[in-house]
Amino acid sequence: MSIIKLDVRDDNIHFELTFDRRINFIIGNSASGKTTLYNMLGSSREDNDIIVDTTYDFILAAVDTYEIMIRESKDAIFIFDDLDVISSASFSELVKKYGINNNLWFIIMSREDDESLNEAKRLSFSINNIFKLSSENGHYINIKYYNYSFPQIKHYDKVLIEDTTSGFDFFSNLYKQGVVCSTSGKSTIVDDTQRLINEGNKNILVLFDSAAFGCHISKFDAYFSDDNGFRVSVLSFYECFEELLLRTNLLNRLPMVTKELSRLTDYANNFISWENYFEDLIKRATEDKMYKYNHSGVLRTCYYEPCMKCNPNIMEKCDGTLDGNNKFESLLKDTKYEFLLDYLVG
Amino acid sequence: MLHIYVNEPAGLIKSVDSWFNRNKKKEWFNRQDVKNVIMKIDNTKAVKDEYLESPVFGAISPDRLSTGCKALILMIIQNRPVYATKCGDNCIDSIIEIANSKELYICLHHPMKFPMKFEAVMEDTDTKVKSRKEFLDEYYKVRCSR
Repeated sequence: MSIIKLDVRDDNIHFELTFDRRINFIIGNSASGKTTLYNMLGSSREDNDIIVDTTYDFILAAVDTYEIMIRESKDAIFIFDDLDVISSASFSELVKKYGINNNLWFIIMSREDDESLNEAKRLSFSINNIFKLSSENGHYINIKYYNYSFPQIKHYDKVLIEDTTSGFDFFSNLYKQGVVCSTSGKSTIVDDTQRLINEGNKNILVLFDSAAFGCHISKFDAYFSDDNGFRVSVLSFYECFEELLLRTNLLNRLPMVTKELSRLTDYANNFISWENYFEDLIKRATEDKMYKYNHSGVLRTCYYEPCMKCNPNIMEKCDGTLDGNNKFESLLKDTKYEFLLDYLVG
Repeated sequence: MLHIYVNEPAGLIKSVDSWFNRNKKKEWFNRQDVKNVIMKIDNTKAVKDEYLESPVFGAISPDRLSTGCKALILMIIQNRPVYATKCGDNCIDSIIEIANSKELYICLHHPMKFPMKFEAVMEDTDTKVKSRKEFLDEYYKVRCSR
């Protein structure tokens, strides 16, 4: 199932919520309806006036029973309301271990961060699946909490890249100057951004993997969301570097890629984190190609040098030849990421 | 003055809902400052004692107030530290307002988006902060060292 719904209503109130990934948070203002939703779900087993229509059965998590319920339940939506356990390593492990096999979905209502856990033990989830409730005349829907608008700036002093390997190679070749990579992946993005600000950079574009940056976004947002003499721009739709490559004209024409990206939620939700899905897809799609992609290795020149520079013997065996002497234009033109061609950096 | 703990202090009211529901007193809801908070956060009128009127639910008891609103009422009424991670962004102005009239102790487990300029004492490090950035620096220093 690619998208789940949670529809809860009585005579006065109607919650009509949809979620397209397995791990979801609802935060936002006090009195926005979170506890009302939870209470209505709790009462609905006995109160016939409350109608609940969900893709799967829902389970209201309790501290004493959530572990066994996650282990034993199948095809279920877990709802956590303000339970401390969600910031624990054991909760994260349970979700990773049983989320896919048991087809579990999670709606977590909590602001508590998990900063005390080391990176490997934290939950990996998208910034785009952190929601708030919006209501009008008793009708509630979920909307993105971090609703970053498309940046209008086209000239950046620096571009900070989360990827230290392939992604850094790609953007360094695209912009030639002004590209820096994070010191240690997503966990140091905030510190690295702060360092760039301290160095006097005013306009900074930060390319973190939004598919897995959810546990860091509250920190990032608290530091940089307000105009304070500098402007930090982000691309919230940039899932990860592999997703960008899959959208390029080199890879988007491969049948496997075309098929899966056209039904993204169906395929990507076979993984807890979509970042892992994109890594898996690009590996499967390119494993027998001349332009094979290796997540942790050096990026092949196929992704930044014109094909005309390639050894003719290799070109003969390659099914990914692109015309033109500007490889980035060939890769990105008419794709989701075409706008990157317009940016000036440095 | 606002006093912020990151580590949980002794006497912290963490289970705001249940503590409020068990300990509330009808006279609380006749105070003007409490009435103001209930109106501001929950858009609900505190009519008299525990009789409240919500535009969504009609007549309600205080138990049905939002958790953030209950946390603010506890901050006004008593002097124990309150777990303010139960409070949404729309409670921040009220927290600062309450702290302007008393020594207010709160505990946070999330990076609350205070105004760019505000004052507080970080109790874990005994440091006075005068901006959101200073608060965040101290917050993460303590939170990440646990």
